[in-house]
Amino acid sequence: MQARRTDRSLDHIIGEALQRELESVPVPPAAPLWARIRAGLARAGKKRAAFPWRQMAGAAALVLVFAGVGLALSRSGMFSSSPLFYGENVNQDCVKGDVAEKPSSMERGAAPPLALPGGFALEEEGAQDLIQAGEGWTAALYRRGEEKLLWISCDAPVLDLREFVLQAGRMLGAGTEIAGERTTVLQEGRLEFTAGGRPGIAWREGEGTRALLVLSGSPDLQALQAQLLPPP
Amino acid sequence: MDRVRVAQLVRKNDNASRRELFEIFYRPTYAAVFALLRHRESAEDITQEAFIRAFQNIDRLREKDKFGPWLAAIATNLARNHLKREKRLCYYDKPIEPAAGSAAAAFCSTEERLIREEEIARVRAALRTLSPEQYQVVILQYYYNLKLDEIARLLNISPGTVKSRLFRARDRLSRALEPEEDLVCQADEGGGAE
Repeated sequence: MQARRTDRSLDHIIGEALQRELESVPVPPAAPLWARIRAGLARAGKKRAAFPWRQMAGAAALVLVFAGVGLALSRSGMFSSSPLFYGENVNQDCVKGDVAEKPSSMERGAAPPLALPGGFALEEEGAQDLIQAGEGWTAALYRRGEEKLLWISCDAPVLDLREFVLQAGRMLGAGTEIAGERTTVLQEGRLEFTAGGRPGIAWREGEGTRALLVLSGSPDLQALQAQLLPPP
Repeated sequence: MDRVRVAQLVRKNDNASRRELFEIFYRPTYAAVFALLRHRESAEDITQEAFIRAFQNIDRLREKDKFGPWLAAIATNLARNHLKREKRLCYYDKPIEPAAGSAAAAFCSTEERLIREEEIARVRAALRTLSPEQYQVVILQYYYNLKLDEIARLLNISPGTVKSRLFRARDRLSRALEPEEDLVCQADEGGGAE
């Protein structure tokens, strides 16, 4: 009977067999999986924000920045002929104050939807909630229970999605980060990003660009965005 | 892989570092998961989830140069859980074609090389029959060269359990090399091989 092989010899054979076994596995391209991981990390980031103070503070800061800027501008009267805030009467295309004329979308940005799919209602807290952030820019806050979304719109022509997202981040005073390899996402006409650590999605709509940014909760951004797209 | 570089990337943990870690460990992690699941889509999903969990919890990794085996432990744990959920053990159903000419050992004679190739093919086939628990410890020991106590810490199980799983796995793999020896013995003893 042959002598039983030594442990060392067996270890060598197992090691080499395992190496070859793993190397023989057909591995799919890395780029799409990396894109999914980045998106997953962005989504997970917002979920984890339920308790960590740092991220909570970041989200609160975003809301405060908008509220503060909005209030300051509304009181300054700088834009008295150009309405800055849409209040409770937004469904009548009115603004708080005396201006009743509906703003043209190119000058003042598209009017925010009254509600977002999935039961997100426009916040009804007055001037803080709806802000026209600049020429052609509009933003609005939506709530569904504890979930809060910021809707951002820009109707300035020829605005690249990336540029749009970066500008939005600057307006929010939040660090904006766009995932690196987003080719496939870009081909679909949308872009995932984070601003102040919060996940967001941007897309083209007509000649304008839109974005949704999660301020709290964990809604399915991609599903929401798909429902917001106008019919082809 | 450069362990110092890996430790640097783990400490840095920015997007570029994560991307580089992904590039380094994507293949072996995916392969280890696929070896357990034999299902491409599931293997991709599990690999994705493993990387996400690893990056989320990277601060908890004490030995920064052990990112690879740590990730492998996470990924194979997820794969094992997936198998339990799916209640399917399908590692036999899609045998992988042997890889051609990878790092062949330097043997003196053609005969020795052929014997070695035959042995490796048998062990590869036997690897596919291991339980997920056994496969997991085999990967951590033989691919990532971890010691027994390191594996125990990574998997949060006792060293005795690791030892037992490894023993059973090695026993099974070594038996894959025996049948021919038995036949040789029988032939030598006039028992006939038929």
